[in-house]
Amino acid sequence: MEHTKISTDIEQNIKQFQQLFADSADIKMKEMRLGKGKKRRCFLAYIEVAVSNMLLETTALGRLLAALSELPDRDLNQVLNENAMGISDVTPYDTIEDAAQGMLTGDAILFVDGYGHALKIADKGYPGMGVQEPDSEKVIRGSKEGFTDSIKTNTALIRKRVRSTRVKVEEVQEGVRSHTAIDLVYMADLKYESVLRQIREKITEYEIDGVMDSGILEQLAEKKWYSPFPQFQTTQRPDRAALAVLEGRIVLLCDNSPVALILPTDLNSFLKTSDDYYNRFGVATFARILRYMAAFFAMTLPGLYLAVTNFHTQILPTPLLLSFWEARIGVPFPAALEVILMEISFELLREAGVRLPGAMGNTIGIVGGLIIGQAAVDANLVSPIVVIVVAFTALCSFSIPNEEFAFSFRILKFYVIVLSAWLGFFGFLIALLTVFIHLSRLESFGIPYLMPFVGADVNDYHDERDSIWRAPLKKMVRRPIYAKRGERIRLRKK
Amino acid sequence: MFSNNNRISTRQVFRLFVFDFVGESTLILPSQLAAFAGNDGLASIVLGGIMGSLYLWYLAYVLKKMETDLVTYMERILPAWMKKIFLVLLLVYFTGMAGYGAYIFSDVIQKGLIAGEPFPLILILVLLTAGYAVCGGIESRARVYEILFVVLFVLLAVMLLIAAGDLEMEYLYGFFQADTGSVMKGSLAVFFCLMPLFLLAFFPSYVQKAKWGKLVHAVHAAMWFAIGVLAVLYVILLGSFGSRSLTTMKYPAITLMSSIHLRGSFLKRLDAFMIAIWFFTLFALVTVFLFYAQELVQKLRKKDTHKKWYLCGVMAAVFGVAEMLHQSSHGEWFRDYLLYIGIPLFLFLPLFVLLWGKGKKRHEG
Repeated sequence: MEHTKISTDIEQNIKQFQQLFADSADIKMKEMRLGKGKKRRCFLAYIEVAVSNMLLETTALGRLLAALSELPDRDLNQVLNENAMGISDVTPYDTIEDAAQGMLTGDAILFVDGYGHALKIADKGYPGMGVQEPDSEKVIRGSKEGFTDSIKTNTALIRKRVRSTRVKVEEVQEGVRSHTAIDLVYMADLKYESVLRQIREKITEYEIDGVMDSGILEQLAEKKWYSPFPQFQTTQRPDRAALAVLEGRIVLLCDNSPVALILPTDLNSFLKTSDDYYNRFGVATFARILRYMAAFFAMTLPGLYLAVTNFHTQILPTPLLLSFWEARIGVPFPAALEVILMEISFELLREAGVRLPGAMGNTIGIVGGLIIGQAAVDANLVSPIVVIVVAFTALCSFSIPNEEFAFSFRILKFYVIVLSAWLGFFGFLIALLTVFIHLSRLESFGIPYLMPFVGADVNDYHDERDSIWRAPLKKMVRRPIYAKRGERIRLRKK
Repeated sequence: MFSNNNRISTRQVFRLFVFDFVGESTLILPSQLAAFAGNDGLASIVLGGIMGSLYLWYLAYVLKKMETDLVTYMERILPAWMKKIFLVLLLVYFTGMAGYGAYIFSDVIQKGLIAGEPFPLILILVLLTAGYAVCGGIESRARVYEILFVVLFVLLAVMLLIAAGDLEMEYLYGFFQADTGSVMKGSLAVFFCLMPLFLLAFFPSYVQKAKWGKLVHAVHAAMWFAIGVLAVLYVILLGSFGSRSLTTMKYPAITLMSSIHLRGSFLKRLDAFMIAIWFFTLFALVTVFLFYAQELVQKLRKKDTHKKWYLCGVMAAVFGVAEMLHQSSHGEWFRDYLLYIGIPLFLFLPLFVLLWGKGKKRHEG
């Protein structure tokens, strides 16, 4: 794209700028006069709503314009050149296109006659929601702040937690039409340069129209796109992102997205929560074991039920077997179909609950879970035991702290069901083994997905202290494998 | 970073070899040992272990002199025609072993879990899964077993501990009754089950040079770990069934699992669950030989591009071997194959190649 240099003739600049933003009703352009004698023409362009009333004395823009109006004409250029007004966020541009791009970030652009630059003056910016508690990743103990849609707010939320000069924020723009700002936040001395380089390469690998959310970058950058498992960790919590930065990982923030990506990652990270570190080790360990068990059963329980009841009934004691049999009397479907039907119904209820407005979403959960479940049992469409199995499986999947990660188990559950229904415990084991093999082949920027259960020797088995169990904080003296070799001590006595 | 470098740690080597040793030996050996030496089968196990140690010492010595893995050394030293013959023989050996592993695996599954399903279907599923595992390379395979190791062996230990509580002590009396020849026969059977030791000859390229000593130590430890498991299992099997009954059972370890009652548990029998141990260990055995067979085809063809096709070819061959073993009338040839191809390669090939190399160097120097 050709760039047009900003002229000292304001007429020319106005013409070109108006040409660029022709048929754009939301772009406001105002001509004014500055200087004591009100002789110097100036031109202000901004997006409606993104810039407050320019005459307001409370805004930087308002103050700047008021001050410039009081200056003698001859001093204007010098004052603008030296930013003598002391406005903190003023960026000069040399070309019309850069100035236009600057304006599209939500700030105002000021052209002054006889001055060969345009100035971007920050104002309130695009409208957005303030800092709120995130919907997912709820914690009992710890900060209640969540990321917002504004990338600037999000970087500030991380900086607020890690106030170090070694925290670096690298900005790139992605999307040939959207020009979305992407920030890479990391700790300069902890991160692996090769990982940062790989991430940069990955996110700039494709030319795409627009990046509306970090999820788009995630999908484009994923090495094994066909895997049901997420290879990038997501979080809506600044404290979680800050912890990741302190571990030597890299946080990717995308403008207009409240979801940050954490890289590299592993399976274990998806089952941790922030308050695992805020609670005592016993509580954290117990919760972790529960979550691991939940993840396992979220994928396997219906399949295991089918394998045992259809193929290996010798495992069960006779009274239990009889009660299973009695519960199924009158149910017209084979057990496999019964389980699949119930599972699909439950997934539908979940989807409906998510899409419906707040209060209705909760209602549909209760209506679906209790009333439809009971009605299905009464109508002999399903047996009560299947309802229990499916409900328990759903409960397990809700216990997985990361939604994307939980989703992979929900998908794989059907794979386990099909194989177990077909081949019993052999099918169950084949399903389990193939999932294991798949997991063992996954990696995230050079880190095996199954860390620290594999390859823990690389970091002298220290990473195992923060896996299915969490060691007492005093024992967790080393940073995980993500941190640069030689920079792994994170806790020592003064 | 450190993954995807085609290198594995010594912990992974240990666990991989444990899986390779345990599956076949714990399934087949107990009834054979009981037939050969009765209660003195325990002595056969220990003697077999000692033979394994000696063989490992010999192999480690030869490989140290070679300073690389066997195939690379063969490529460097042997004339092309001779190298090809040996590679083909090794390929036949590995394919045969993978086929044998796949046969036992599928047989155990058919007999223990899904009697109604046809053998070829089980075999195909096993081989497809094994093929998928092999595609991931050695690192991926090592990771699977590194994780499963703790879960499975803790489970096995618990089961054996429970089974130990119900032993009939009179079955265990009567040692030193078998003659030396029978004990030796038993120890040879144990030694042959330790054949995966030969795979050490292919390992130097998968671990760092500086860790060679640790690698040999890891394999040695894995072998004695497996010998320990076998010995404990054999004593428990003897105490549970007596040596006479043991000889009549095809897979006594699985029969033992079906007789274990977990006190306080609501489950009546655990055999279906416990087959998981042999499921994973036998799977390891199949994949390890499949992996090296595919590597050998690649060496023979000298092309990297058709790796997946080579694997498909090897899988088809393994399927053929396993299916032939399944037809009992063809079972005899496997013994001949082991006698004339397997054992000579296993025992003499490394030494022969080393001596050839020495001779060539002397001749050139």
